[in-house]
Amino acid sequence: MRSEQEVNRALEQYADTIQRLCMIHLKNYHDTEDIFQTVFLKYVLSSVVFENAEHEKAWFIRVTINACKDLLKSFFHSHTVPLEEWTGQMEDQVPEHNEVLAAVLSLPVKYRNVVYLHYYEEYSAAEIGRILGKNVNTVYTLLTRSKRLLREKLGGERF
Amino acid sequence: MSDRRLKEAFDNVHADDELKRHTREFLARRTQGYKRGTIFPYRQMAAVMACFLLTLALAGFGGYYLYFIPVSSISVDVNPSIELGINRFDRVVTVDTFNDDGYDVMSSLNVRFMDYRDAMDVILNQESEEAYLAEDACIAITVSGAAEGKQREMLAHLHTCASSYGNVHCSSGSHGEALEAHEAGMTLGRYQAFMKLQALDPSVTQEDIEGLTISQIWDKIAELSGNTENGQQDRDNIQDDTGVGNGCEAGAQDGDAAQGGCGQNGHHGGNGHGHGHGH
Repeated sequence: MRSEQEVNRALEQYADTIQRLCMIHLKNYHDTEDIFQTVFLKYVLSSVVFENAEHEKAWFIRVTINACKDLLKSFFHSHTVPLEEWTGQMEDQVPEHNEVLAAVLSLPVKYRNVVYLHYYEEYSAAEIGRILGKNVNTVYTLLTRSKRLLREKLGGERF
Repeated sequence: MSDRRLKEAFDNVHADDELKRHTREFLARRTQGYKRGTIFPYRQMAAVMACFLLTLALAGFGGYYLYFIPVSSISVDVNPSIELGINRFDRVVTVDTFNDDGYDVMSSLNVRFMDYRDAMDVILNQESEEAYLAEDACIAITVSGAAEGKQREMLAHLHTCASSYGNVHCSSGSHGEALEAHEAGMTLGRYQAFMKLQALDPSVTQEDIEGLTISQIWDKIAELSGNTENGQQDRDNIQDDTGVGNGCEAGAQDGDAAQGGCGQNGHHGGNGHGHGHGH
């Protein structure tokens, strides 16, 4: 079992990443607490030895996405309503940011992960493929399509 | 960069302190303060294991109870006195012998877990071979413990089994009566005969009948009842009289219908003796 210090360090380090992943999956702020508990309990109990910080971060991303998917499997969670709940949690209420986030959240769920991981976390297609367990060509296809969709929503010159 | 705005937008999303605090509190609770050795949910597993073991125990006990606990008993008296405990599946689960002859007969037989009809056939066949069943021997078969309908059914089956070996006297009795018989060291069939004899002659004691076969006891009863003159004739008529079930069914229904000794049961026209007792 990992120590309290390790857990606190990881919580400070990855809480924002997990929060963002929750946002693009759950659309419901109140489920975030469940995901945090699930992910960090797994971390506490996990005996995985991380080779480096990147390895650890990829682990958190993968576990969070899986936890979100598990939560969404229930009928209730798959029919929750979005966005407004999240905007209240943001530091600044910048209309432009809300517009971008709304555009991302309006994408089909299979695009949201790759958009976030590629454009925000700056993972390569190969790395995203490893994290999500997808073929790298599939990731490229998803990225291309999501870029087109975002362009349509946010205006041609931005993506 | 075209995705700059997206980065800025996501940068604006943070996990708040309350969420982190709740997570810390949850983890501290679940790990009982991060104590080593609490990883495994022993308490839950112990509860699951306890339920599992309890289920196993109940199933085992239930199975044992269903199969190995006798719900009725059949006593067979010729001279060997034997009592079989029968479970709800009509199988013999216990065998008790009440005299040396009974012990001799059963020492070479294993009828446990046999259907009671087969067991009866095996026992009577053995008794026949060991010459306990002489011609005109009386076989007293007594069923106790079962419900009335079941008793009648068992007696009818047993009568069919036993009638080829001798003159059959069927009767039934209650569980309480069977316990009284056991306290007196007798099978229920022998005890009933003894009680009947004692009712006719109160001076008769248990010691007086110790060496007697069931046939001899019933002959004494018949003698005291004044029915001896008809005995042999009725005995001869047993095999071709009114049918297997009559004597047994009469016994199960009306204990006082048959007063004769073994082979002297012609008074009510039945085959064998009826002798029933209330439950």
